[in-house]
Amino acid sequence: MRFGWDARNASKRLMRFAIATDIVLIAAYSIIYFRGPFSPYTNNLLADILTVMASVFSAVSATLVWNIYEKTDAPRRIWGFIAFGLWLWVMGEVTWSYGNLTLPNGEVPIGVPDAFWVIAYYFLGQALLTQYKILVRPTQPELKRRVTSSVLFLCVAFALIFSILKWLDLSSSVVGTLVNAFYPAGDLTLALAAIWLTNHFQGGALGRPWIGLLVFAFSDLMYAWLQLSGAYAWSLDRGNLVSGFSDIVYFSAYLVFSLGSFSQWLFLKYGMRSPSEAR
Amino acid sequence: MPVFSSFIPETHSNVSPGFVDILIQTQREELFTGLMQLRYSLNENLIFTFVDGVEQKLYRSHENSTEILPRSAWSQMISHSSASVGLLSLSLEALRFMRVALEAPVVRMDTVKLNSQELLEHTNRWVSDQDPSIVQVQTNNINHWYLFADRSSLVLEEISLTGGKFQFSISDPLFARSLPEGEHEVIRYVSNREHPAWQEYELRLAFNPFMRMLTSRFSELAGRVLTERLCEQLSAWARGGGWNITLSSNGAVNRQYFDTLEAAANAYTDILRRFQLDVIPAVGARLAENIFRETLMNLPPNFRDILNQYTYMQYGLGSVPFITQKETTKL
Repeated sequence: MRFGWDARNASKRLMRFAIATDIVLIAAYSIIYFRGPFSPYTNNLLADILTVMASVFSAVSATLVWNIYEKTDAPRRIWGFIAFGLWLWVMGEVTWSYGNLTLPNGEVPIGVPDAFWVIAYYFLGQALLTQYKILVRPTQPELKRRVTSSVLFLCVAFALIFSILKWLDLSSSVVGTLVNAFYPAGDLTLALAAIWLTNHFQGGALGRPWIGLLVFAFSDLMYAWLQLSGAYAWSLDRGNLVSGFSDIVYFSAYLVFSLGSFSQWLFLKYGMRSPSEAR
Repeated sequence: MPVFSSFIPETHSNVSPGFVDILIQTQREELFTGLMQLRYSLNENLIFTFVDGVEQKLYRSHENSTEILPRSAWSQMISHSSASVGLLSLSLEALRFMRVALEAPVVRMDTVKLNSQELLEHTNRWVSDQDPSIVQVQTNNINHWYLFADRSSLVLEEISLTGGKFQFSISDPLFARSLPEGEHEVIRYVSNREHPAWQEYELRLAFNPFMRMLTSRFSELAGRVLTERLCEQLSAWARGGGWNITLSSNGAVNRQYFDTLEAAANAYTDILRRFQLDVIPAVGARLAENIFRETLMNLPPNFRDILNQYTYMQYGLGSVPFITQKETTKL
């Protein structure tokens, strides 16, 4: 996929093309969201298609990275987990969009999409754990300690958020509150792990996907929090910027993550070549 | 250690200084690698080392030591009278062995007669000895020489003289088992580890596992394809710098003859610096630094010390306090 360019130019141009595509998609999503140029149904349909597209981009990028590694390469396991997790999120987006377009008022209850989203956290967690093992090469007790403290953190955050939601009494079912409490707790755990990894890779090409994951986790955290606090619904009723901003950030986060993965793929494919080989 | 000179076969007797010049010119043209011995009357013995037709050094042997003559004195030394000339073609590895044998001082010489079992026992002691040595074993008219310098690995470099030919090979401390039964005459030339010839030798021994572990760690983080590309790039860069050192995921294939410790240390430092520069875009500066420190920590102490002394400290990472602290705290 070099189109007759040398490796260095191919890498730069493909990255520029990916960034330009993402900007166009974000602009299109924003226009549909704020201006609503078509009928409400069509606007909804297009916004959902764009969200599914963004999630597919991130899953495809991760799959490309997974595919470029050799079977014996340790990072291939990381990318296998990430790609699988992201494809589950794609399934979540597809089933949610289907519900959004077919159910009355477009309100999707807790159900199948959430099952995909929640299960995906397990695979993303496995990816982070594998990356941690490769980076630090911990002893078995160290590894147990780390895993235990991460799971404990997740449980405490989850219990805390669940208690707050119950106290706020947002008239949701227990299962609904449990699922809703899980998202911010899971996002927070992912975000902290991504901060740790980003800090370790400090500017290296292999650290870019973790920056993408960090952005994704924070945007999802913000989205989940706005949803749970009721600010999202309030903003939607009044038609102000908060809900729109949150939706656009959520949409963009998929694209940022896909850019991070895509840049790693480009680096693995074209990077570290001598000037003569680059031609 | 002048003992080798007696094994160099004489090819031209009593030739004029002009003819010596012609012989030297011939070796240049034939890209000769090995030793050229010039024997003069009054027991004066000079040895040239050649690598690919280029003279590297001129040694003058004395009874128990060898002196390196400055390049400016060469023409005067070889043109004062007629000489007998001997030529000994060697592989590069054997020549590097010879360099240590010619330059390293002999502080003590032990001569013993040992059977194979006794030799095996002695070998185990010599391997862990702080002082490096060259051990000559004579058995059934075959001479073997072994370099005992590497305290951490179980590899011994060996030169054997069979049928007038010197052959270099890699042996191990169990070599005595492969020798024929009976008594062997063993001479051990004990030397001083601080001498630059030994330091250069040990630095070369340490550089290979260091590079192998570095590339292997990078491969763990970045995958095999990127590692191979990195090695190709580094090898091309080293070739461009005039060093015959090839890097692969299995480590370094070092076929470079360094005539001084400084030249070797500078080359290894430059390669390590280049390695770091090349891996930073992939893993970032912090992780690159950590890879180096971690790898150095995993090396045997003698390799770590010599790399610290001649490459790592020059390299500017200031590792020693960090490593000492890590060893103390076991973190």
